[in-house]
Amino acid sequence: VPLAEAGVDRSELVDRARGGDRHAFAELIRASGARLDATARLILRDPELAQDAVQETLIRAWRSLPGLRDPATFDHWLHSLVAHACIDLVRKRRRRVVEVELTPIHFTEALDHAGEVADRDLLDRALARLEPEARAVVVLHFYLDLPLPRVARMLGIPDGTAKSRLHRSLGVLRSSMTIDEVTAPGAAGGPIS
Amino acid sequence: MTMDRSRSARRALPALFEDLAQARTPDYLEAAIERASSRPQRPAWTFLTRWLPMDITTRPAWVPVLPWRQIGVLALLALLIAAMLLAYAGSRQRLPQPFGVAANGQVVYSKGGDIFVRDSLDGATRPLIATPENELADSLSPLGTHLLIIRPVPPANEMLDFFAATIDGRNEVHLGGPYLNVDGIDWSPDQTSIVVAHEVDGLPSITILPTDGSGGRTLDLGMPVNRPAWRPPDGHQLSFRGQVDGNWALFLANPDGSGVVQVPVRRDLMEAPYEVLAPVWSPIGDRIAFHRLVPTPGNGNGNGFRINVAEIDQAGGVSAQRTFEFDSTSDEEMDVQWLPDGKRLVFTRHDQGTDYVSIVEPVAGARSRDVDVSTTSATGEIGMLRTTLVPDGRSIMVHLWADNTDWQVDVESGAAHKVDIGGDDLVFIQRRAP
Repeated sequence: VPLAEAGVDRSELVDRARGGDRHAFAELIRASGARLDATARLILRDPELAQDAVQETLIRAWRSLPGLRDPATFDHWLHSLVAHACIDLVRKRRRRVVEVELTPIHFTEALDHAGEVADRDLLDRALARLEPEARAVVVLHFYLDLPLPRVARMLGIPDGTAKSRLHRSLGVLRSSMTIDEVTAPGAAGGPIS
Repeated sequence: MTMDRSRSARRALPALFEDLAQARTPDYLEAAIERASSRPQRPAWTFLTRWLPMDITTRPAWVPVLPWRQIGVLALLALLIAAMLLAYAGSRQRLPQPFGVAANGQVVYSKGGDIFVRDSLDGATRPLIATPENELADSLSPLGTHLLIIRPVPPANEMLDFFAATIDGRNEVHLGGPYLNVDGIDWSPDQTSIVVAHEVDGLPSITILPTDGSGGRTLDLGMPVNRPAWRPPDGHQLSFRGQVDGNWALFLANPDGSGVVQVPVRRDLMEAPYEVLAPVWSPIGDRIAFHRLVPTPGNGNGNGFRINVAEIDQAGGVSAQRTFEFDSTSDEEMDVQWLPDGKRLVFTRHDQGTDYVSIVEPVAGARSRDVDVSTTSATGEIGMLRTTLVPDGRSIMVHLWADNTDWQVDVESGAAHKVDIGGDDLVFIQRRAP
């Protein structure tokens, strides 16, 4: 019986995982896994790299859990770990002079409203034009709904840098989406810093 | 004025991201959990911050009794040091008053995780504090002799560690922390303490940190609290926001947390979270200014932030107060500061996606004047600029987050010129004796 169904609350799960309980850790991660994977895919834009980032996140989380002071911050802590894992992966690949392949995110076949599909597609291509560090700010802010000061603290950058990256990224997104709306699909260029 | 289209575009982005991400539990998750949790955890005792109380790390070591000869040498050394200290004290510059107009001193700013200094805005840059750690200059002390440094704690960087150093970057002392969700920092006028708002076991609380590093003391105020500030000119009281029955109100207390009184500022509020936002004392501590959400029929939005100024007596009573609307068409009028002369206010005016810096004397019927620097956000983001005061009161510094540019603005004419700083946070200018 999953611990959550057995009446064990989330902070107790974190406490147990801090104490080395692998089942508690697994349950916590199962609850967050979809969002971790989606966050990594949005930042890295490569499903295989995203898998590596999530794997690295889980290793760091498990190893460092005994040092987590406040169980209530577990989710934010995990999100900051995945953002750091993504950025670290990109930096390692840059050092090896390996291009990060900007593969498009594939949508399911059962797509709904045509307008929403077009918007998603535009956003997808526009995101590809951002550097991963900038994408991390945008994804943490808009996808994980975290306030900018918290995003800044998570990424270890000043509030102003986070605001600045968000502002520039949104400018790039807006102009990319506007340009792509009037040009042929697939015309996405390289990343814009 | 109506809400601009960019705000609705901003609201649409989260939904678009949800669609784009299509979050689903990945096939590899179980195997990844297994791989991760099959490794040993780092032992809890290796996380020193988790287990070590700060007083242990700062407790002086036991010094055994020394032989008389060494004591004699030490006494001579002590005399020598005392003589040097006297000579140093005699040669020290006079200090400014902690509030009001002062002379401009060194320029301090953060860039790339280090702290830099210049002798003047257009002077040559030199590193002030540059360690392998990520450090930010938070503020300079009121007497201009010290610098508050903040270091986010990796890897999550959610907690902040507090340090102080002399303005030359030396004599660094750990003050306290790391603290979670920091929401307000203020130097005491005599700069012997810093008050910090942060979370303690999930409760927004206030801690007083002596600047000699002798350890912090969290006040028991009996409610969630944030935005603490020492009341000028001598810091004999602390003001703070406190939450009672879900509503935030303004309070005064003695610096030891005793004598808490609620300040009865006007409460014709629109929504509970938007009460008494960002309160700031006038330089002599007779008035407090803040912004709050009120009905604003003139801007077409139905409501907006407007600035309130209240005269506060020593017992915490309000002798007069007024909510100002310096331009009825503004979407927001917010984030107010007193200029060093204590007569005028500088604040952010937000209208149709653009942040303006505006200056005004808070008297009945006054209209504010926008200065020559503003910033427009593609998404209607509010607060994309920030103003810091210049001690001589003749100008202000404006930092634009969009491109991290800094502008010096003449207070009288509103004319702005760009200063080549290149930092990635606010610029602080040291206060010196005039």
